[in-house]
Amino acid sequence: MAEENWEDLYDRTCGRLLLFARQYVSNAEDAEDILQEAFVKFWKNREIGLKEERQIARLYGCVRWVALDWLKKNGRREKREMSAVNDAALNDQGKWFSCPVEKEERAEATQVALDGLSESQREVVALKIWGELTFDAIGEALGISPNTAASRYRYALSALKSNLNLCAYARNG
Amino acid sequence: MRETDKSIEAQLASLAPKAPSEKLKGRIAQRLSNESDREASPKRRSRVVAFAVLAAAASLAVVLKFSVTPEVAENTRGVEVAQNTKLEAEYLAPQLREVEFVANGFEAVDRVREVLAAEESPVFLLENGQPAQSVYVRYLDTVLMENVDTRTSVMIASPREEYRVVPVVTY
Repeated sequence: MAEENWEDLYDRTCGRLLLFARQYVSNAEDAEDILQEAFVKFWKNREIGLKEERQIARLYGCVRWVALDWLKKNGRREKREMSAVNDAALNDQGKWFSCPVEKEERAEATQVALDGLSESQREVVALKIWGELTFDAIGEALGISPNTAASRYRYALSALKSNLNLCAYARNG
Repeated sequence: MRETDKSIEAQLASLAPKAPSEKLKGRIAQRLSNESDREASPKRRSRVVAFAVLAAAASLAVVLKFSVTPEVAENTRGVEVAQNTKLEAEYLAPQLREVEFVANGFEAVDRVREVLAAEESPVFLLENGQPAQSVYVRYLDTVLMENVDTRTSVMIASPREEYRVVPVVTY
């Protein structure tokens, strides 16, 4: 990876990293605290000369590690209740995606469907879809084999389809 | 199945993650600035170590390839390929092999061998009078291959059967 300054790296990855952090904590402010800590740790300890994808995988790995550590230090494992996310009007703080008004309903339905997945499935989906990582890189970020990452991804897509269908059914009656 | 997978992936990818607040970047800048007197000392991987690691990985890949492929070539009943820009499954002709994907820039990143079934026959006597058993094992060999440049993944799953006659030690 040609050495870029931290601001360029931050600017092009911050949204995706924040979305990834939000797979562990539901509160936006907590997710930003995690992202801040993880990014600083990553930048201080980065290895020069690694291929870009490996660098990015390590950055995501750092976010995950800081998030899990944060959860441990706070003495609780946040229970992500679908009912909390299912609130009729997600306020701006609670939204994971920014989109035009005509896509808001779909974005909310997607967020609810994602929230219905297990944490291990959400991680892989976030890294594959928005992180655009290969399964090899996902494996490195999460400390699992690429094959396991691929399997989790397939199951997650299948579960997402069901969850999205349920959301559509609930909306349309 | 493929079309709905692509459809849901496209639907997800069309949503842009929300950016953090602007003050977060400032906080990170402040933290990095405060720690800049302790100059970041990025570890530099020595070329010798890097080449040694790459050589070891290449050797392992060659060993795995030659130990797995001949048996797969003999006994493969069919090949299930999950191919994606994200992930899909389709059945392709049995003659499609891992080597063809390698020729197209794919690398094997993971291999899994699962034992699906195992049976052993009753003990019988060989011509030389030695007791033996026939052991049947059915495996599923799965290799995950990725092309980093195109960000495409392929999963090749090949069922394989083995029959072996093994001597039985009696006491």
